[in-house]
Amino acid sequence: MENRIAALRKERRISQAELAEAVAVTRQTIISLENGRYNASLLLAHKIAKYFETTIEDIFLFEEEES
Amino acid sequence: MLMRVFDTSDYDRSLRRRRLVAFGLLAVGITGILCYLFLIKGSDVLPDFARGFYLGGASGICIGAVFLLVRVTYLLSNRSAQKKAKIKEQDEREKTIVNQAFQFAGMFTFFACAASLFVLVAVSMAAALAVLCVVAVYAIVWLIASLYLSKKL
Repeated sequence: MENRIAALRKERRISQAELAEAVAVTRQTIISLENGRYNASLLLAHKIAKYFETTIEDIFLFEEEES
Repeated sequence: MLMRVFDTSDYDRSLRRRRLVAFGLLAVGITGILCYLFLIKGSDVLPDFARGFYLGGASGICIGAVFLLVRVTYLLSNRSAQKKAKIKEQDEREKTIVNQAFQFAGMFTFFACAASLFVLVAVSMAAALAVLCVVAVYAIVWLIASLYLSKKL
């Protein structure tokens, strides 16, 4: 799942450490989220969306799997 | 009780509970060392290996308890360190890593024990039975836990 965390963060000139502190996770978690190595839980996604004053769908880009 | 010790929703209270656990462990360790000094050391009942295991186990528990006590006391007195430790413990990625590592270790241990049974049956029946018990307990605990979780979640 792709996300726009890095883009939003750079747009608003927020460091990874600042975002990490605001949503109560480690900086390593933010790095992993930005790299796409880790998918946030619904709770963390909600916290991040709230922090950026936007919606979860606007940050996390869900890809529907075709079966 | 154990779950409440690691419940980080009220981190201050959780730390105070951990301090109590550390005192409890220290008491167990000291009891072990005293037993070794006054009951085991002078006796010829146990072999050297068993005596060493007794002392090593008790010392290990004491060292672990002191380490836990020092860390918890430091965290209770230093707010910024406590905040960092709380974030580290509550971090969902860290929790995922720990859970997956436990899962992997559990699966590996289970299959390693099952494989070692084929060797142990030929070498030592007592050792084979001990390993068989570990495998059986693992399977039973897994079954009970999965039944409990399927009801709870």
